[in-house]
Order: sequence, then structure tokens, then C-alpha cells
Amino acid sequence: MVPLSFTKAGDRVEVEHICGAGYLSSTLGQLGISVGEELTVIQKANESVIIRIKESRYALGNGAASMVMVKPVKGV
Amino acid sequence: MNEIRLLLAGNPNVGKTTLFNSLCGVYQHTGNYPGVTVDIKEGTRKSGDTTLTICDLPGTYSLSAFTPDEQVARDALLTSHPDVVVQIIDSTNIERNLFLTTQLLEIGIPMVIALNMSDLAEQSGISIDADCLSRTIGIPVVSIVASQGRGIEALIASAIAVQGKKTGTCSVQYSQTVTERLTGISTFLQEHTALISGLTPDYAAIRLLEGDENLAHRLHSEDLTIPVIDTCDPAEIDRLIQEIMIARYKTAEQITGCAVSCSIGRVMPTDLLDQVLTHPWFGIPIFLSFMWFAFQLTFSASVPFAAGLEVLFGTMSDSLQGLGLGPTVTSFLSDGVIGGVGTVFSFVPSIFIMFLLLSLLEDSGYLARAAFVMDRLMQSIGLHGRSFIPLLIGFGCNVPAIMATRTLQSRADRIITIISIPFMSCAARLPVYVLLAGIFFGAHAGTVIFFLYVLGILAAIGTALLFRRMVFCDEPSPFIMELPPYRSPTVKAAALHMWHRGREYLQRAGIVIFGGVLVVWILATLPFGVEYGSADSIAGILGHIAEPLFAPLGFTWQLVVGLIFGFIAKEVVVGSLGTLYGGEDSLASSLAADPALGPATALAYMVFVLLYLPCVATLGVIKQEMGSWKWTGIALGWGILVAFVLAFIVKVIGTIILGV
Amino acid sequence: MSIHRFPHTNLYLWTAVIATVTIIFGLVSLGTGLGIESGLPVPADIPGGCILLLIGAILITGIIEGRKDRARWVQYGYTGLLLLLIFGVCTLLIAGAQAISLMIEGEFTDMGTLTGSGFIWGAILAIPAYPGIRRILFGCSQGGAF
Repeated sequence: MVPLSFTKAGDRVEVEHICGAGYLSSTLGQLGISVGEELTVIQKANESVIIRIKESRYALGNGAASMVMVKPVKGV
Repeated sequence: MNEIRLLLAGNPNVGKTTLFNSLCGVYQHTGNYPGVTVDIKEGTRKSGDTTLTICDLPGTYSLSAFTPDEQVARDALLTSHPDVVVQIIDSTNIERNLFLTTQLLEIGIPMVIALNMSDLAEQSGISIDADCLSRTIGIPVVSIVASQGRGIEALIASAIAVQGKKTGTCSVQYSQTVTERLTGISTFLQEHTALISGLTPDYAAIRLLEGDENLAHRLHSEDLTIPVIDTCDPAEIDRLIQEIMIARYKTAEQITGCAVSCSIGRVMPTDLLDQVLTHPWFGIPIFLSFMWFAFQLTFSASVPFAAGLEVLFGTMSDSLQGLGLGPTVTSFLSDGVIGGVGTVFSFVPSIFIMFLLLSLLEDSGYLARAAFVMDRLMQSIGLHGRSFIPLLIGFGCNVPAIMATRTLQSRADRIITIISIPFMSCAARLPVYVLLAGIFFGAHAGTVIFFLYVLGILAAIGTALLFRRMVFCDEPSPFIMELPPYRSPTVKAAALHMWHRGREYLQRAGIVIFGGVLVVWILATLPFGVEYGSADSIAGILGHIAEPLFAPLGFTWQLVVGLIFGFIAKEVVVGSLGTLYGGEDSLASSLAADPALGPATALAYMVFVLLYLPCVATLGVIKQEMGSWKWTGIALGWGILVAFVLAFIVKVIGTIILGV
Repeated sequence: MSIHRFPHTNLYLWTAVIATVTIIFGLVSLGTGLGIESGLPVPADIPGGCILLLIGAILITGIIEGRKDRARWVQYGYTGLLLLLIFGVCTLLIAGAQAISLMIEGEFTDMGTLTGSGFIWGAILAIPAYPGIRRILFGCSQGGAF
């Protein structure tokens, strides 16, 4: 399990845990970024990432990306 | 006559304002990035004997509002008791949009779903069975293309048909733990229905569990202890919130599964382009290249138009001399109206071109990427990545830019962004640069203007850095932003945006600038008997009184008067100069011939105009958004201080390199 | 068939030609701007030269990475060509406006700035390649050859 900010462009990962509570987890949750969801890392610039989850794309700054713990999707 | 109040709700960037414009036959600004609409817009439409009052709400992903614009949308949905809510859904991204649907259904208000951009969904290989969707959710679903006005009549008919009726048969299946907790809260609320603003106890229980602070505050103010909310561990509540969200998404997934089929390719062009345009090394240089060309084009392409208008106004001024209207009227029309307002109008082409380029940037979807590209830089200077969009909008006009800060969640982020925005050079300042850079820097005018904009950005950066480190002493809140898909901007849409924004500028030129220039002309004429615009006129005396303050910067009294009246609106600076330098020659020739003015002084003047006081309208909106005279005063004083110091530095260095 | 092995050899080689021309123009524009005489009729333009070098670097990245994975060539190539076309049109408008201004003022207009601009030549070379590479890029959203 690594933070999303440690992944690289092209990785397909599954959300395993979201650190912290309140604003961040609720904001991510309402966008569909919740535990168990699979997402693709489109771009990684420093520690910020652009991810694709289903048909949506989101930019996450390093603060937000480092709070989302992910693991690689098996078979990819 | 039947009257219906209809709310347009939905996720950000799904086409709510485009639909609003189509329904009401009006123009409200649209763009391909989230957060274009930050307050409620109202319009009307007649359909048979029914009058619809239509409200366009800011976009929101859910009713758990975190930012001021989302709170506006949530409050309207929960407390304004509309007759019908139309939820606009992006057909290319149904599942995420249905998350909000699950919340709206729980409120129990009559509802219709408008599947917007159904043409794009079709092109992308997404097939939607609207009837199946309608049956599954239990509310009418209408496919529309808001930008082309397709499906609008059917949507109106559905909205009129459902008003006053209970819609929605689909409900979210919560886990047993969540259901038990909700029942506990709901039972408690049944004894306090007066405190839950007309919501049902069941729905109010969900709102409380999802963290509705307003509702909780109302109950707490009566010294009530809310079961679960006040008795459970915060970590337990957070887990319940996550469970609720997962249940909602599961419902959305089930609905999508039966009504939407997709033959979409695994690789999307938008993703491929993002890998280059937001590249860690190429991203910022690509953005700067766009900006550099935009300023070159704004300056160069407008020169022939401006030259043509100048010739026209010169001819008009000459022909006035022969009409025998008397010296005062002739002076008023020639020096005041044509010299002042006419000069400002000469720069209208520059402003139109700038608005056109800004519209193309907004409509393409690149603006949101620029925010991502600049995020690291923004974070390092103490600004939120999302602040980049309001700052960039500030290049057009500071007023909507300040209002766009409503998309920021933290108050500290908002205050810092609002104080920084007036340093972004709005279109009204452009005429001053085009005029002075054209006269004193010739072929390098475009580059000088580009660097003025860069200086404005640097001043904004310095301000943000200082206020974050010295005043707020915290870190910006995490940056999370939806990136819309790239879309080819159409010339028609961009031209329409340009025309509407440009028209606003022209209206201001016709009213505010005319008024400002009229005052300058009167002050330059009085007292009777003195030479027009001379040092003995009231304007001259006023300028001479303030001149010592600006002596270190080398500004003449005419330039000082321009600055004083520039507070009304920045366009008045050039208008005032046109009035005060009025005479046989054009304003450009008069300025070039003034021995007190050289490249260094002109550059210092441009820097001062770039950075000093925001205009009256900007100041008003700063007060409105900050809600504090203290912060408004700080924004005002800080601008003057920065302008004076930087203009002085430019004057000193410029004099060494360029002479006067 | 996958984009990663799509055989567009001519288009690929043409992108390499455009990249080379763009970089040469960028270096000459930059050098002339810095006062280094090249003898070529290329206008001195430091910012413009930097932008041409940037576009050249984007195209070169696509060509190098495209040897192993053609998708990389498509995405970098498409973006580079698009930038060349956009900036080429901008240069044409800027030069045209300058020429009209000079004509209004009754001065002689020298179109050398236009004919020597790397953006114009880059855009001319990009015109035949752009539709092909665009077709490959957007083909993917139809679930097709991409």
C-alpha cells in the first residue's frame, strides 16, 4: 500500500484507504474516490497527479494525493 | 395563469448555464471548466399559460456543501421550496452525476432529469436508454442538447407535468448500521420538527449524519443533544459517512448498469493530450507560450483597427470646428467627448481580441489544466491551486474574478486570493499600456506589455507569499479539481462570449467613462477664462497639489490627474489624458512631444497603473466577498504601497538604462 | 490492431522532418536575437526562438519514445503539430496586422519577417501531417484502431 502521490503515470490502482477525515475524505467520496474504487493515473507531476475514475478526470495536489493510499490492481 | 418556480441543479460543468440561456433567451457566461457560475441567476419563460421562473444554481457534486458557491446551491434546494427541480446530467458521465440524484430524490421534491450533451455521448459510443432510466429512478428523463436547443420543449412539458407531484421510486439501500443510526436520529427529530426547516425527519437525519452544520447548529442552539451526532465517536461518524457515500454510488452504479451501455475505447484522446499538456517539464512552458502569443496578438492585431478609429475620430473632431457651435460646446465635444471617450474607444479592438482569446482558452478545457500545471508553484507561494482560475479570469475583469473565489473552501485561501487578484492586469488597464508602450517602445511594445502582465503576476505571488507566511501562517487546503474533457472551441461560441463581454465594456465606456471624462473636462475648463487644460484650471491645480507626492516617480500633473480619476474606472486614465492633452495633435503625438515624458517615466506610470487602487466596482465586490471593511482597507492600502515602491524601482533602474 | 504498433512510417518520418526544421529555426531565431549572425533571413526573436525549441523538444520526445511505443509518438506528435498550427496562424495574423498598420502610415512593408518565420514554415510543414495524426488520435474514442 503506497500513497497515490508515489504512483507513476499509467499505473492502475485500487483505493485501499483514505487518511484523515472530514473535508478531504468527504470531498473525495462525493467524487467517487472511495475505498475499493479502481483508478488510472494519467499524469504525475512532482507529487500531484491527474487520475481517471470511470469517465471523470480529477487533478489532486500533493496534499490530497498523499492522503489516498492505493495498491496495484492485480492482473494489470 | 399558472406560475412555476423551477431550479436548474447539477454537477459543475454539465451545461446548466447553457440550458438556462436556451430556456430564458438570455446570455450568462459559460465555459468548459467547473465553477463558472457562483451565484443564482434568475430568468423567466412562458409556455402556454404557464410562466416559469427559472433559477440557475451553481454546480455542486453533492448536498454536503463545502465551498460558498456549493452552499448557495444547497440552500436553494433545501430551503426555497421550488415547484420543480431539473437536474442536468452530463450524458458522457452519468454515474458520477447520479450520486447527486440519489440525494435530490431523498428531499422528496418533484424532479426531472435532463440528459445533456446526448450528442457527445452518442459520438463517444455511449448508448443511453432514457425510458429505462426513467422507469428505474421513477422520474421523467429527457435527452437534450442545450447548446443547440434540442429537447428543450419536451423538458419544459415534463417539468410542468410533474409540478406538485411526488416523484422518484428509487431509494438508496443503506447498511443495517446506517439504517439503525438514521432511525435513532429520525425518531428524535420527530419531536423537534419546527427546527428542521420543513424537511422530513428521515431526510433531516441523513443531512445531520452527512455533516450538515447549519441544521446541527439550530438544534444545538436549543440545548438539545442529537443522538449519534453528539454521542458517537467522530471516527465512527466518519465511517458512517463513508458507508452512506458508498451506498449512494452503489445505487448509481445499479441504475447506470441497466440503462447505459458503452462501447467506448480504453484510451481517451483527452488522457493522451493531458500527458503532454500537463507534463512536468513541458506543462509550464506550453502555458507561457500561449500567454506570450495571446499578448502579442492582442497588441499587434488591434493596431490597424485602432489606427482606423483614431483617423475617424480625428476627422470628426476637425469637422466639429467648422460647425460654428461656439467655443465651449466645440471644446466639450472635441476635447471632452472625442478626446476622452473617443480615445478609450480606440482601444476597444484590443479588448475584444483579448476577450476572444480568453474565451477560446476557457471553452477548450485547457484552463483547468493550467490550474493543475501551476498548482505546485501556487502551493509554494501560499496560494491554493484552484486560485489560479480566478487569477486568470482577472486578466479579463477583476470583478468576476473575485466572485470566482467562492469556489475555494478555506476562508484564508479566499482572502489571500482576493487580495492578490487586483494585481492581475484587467482589460481596462490595457489601453494605458497599448498607448504608452506603442509610443515609447515601438517594435518592442508587445514584449513590454507581456512583461507588465508578468510583473502583475509576480506582485500577486509576492502578496500571497507574504500574507500566507505573516498573517495566516498555515498551509493551503488540499487541491482537488475536476478536469473537463477537451472540446474544440467553436468560433461562434467564442465570438458570442467576446461580444457579450466586449459589450459590457462598451456600456461602461458609454456611461462610467463618459461621466468621468465629463468631470475631467469641467475641471479642465473651470474657472472660466483660463486656458483649457492649463495649470491654472481646477484639474491643473488638483494635479499640482498631488504632483509632489509623485515627484520621485517623475509623473507630470496631467498623469497624476489621470491616476486620480482612474479610481472610478481604469479606462478613465486614458480618457483623462485624452481630455487634458487635447489639442491639434493626437494624444499619441502630444505624449511623445512632452519633454517630461520618456521611456522610464512611461514604464513607471504603466507599472503604477497596473498595481495601484482597484477600481470602485472591484472595491465594492471585495467588500461584499470579504464582508469586512478591515480587509477591504488592507487590500486598498497594500495596492498603493506596492504600486509606489515598484514604480519607483522601475523609474530608477529605467532612468539608468533608458534615460528619462 | 493496437496503436502501440500501428505502422504509420511516412507520418512518423515526416514528424521527424518537422521537428528538425523547427529546432533549426528556433536556434537561428534565438542566436540572431542574441546577436549571433547566421546569414539566414530569419528574424531575431528570443521568445519566439524559445517557443520553437520547446515545440521541437515535444516532437523529438514523441519520435524517440515512439520507437518503442507508437502511442507516445501520436500524443506528442499531435500536440506539437497542433501548437505549430495555432502559433503559425497567430504569427500570420500578427504579421498581417503589422503590414496593414505600416500601409496605413504609408510606409514600405517588408514581408521578410513573415517568410523567414519558423512558425510559418513549421505550420506549412504541419498541414499535411496534422489530419493523419488527428485521425489516429481521435480514432481511439470510437473504440477503433487506437
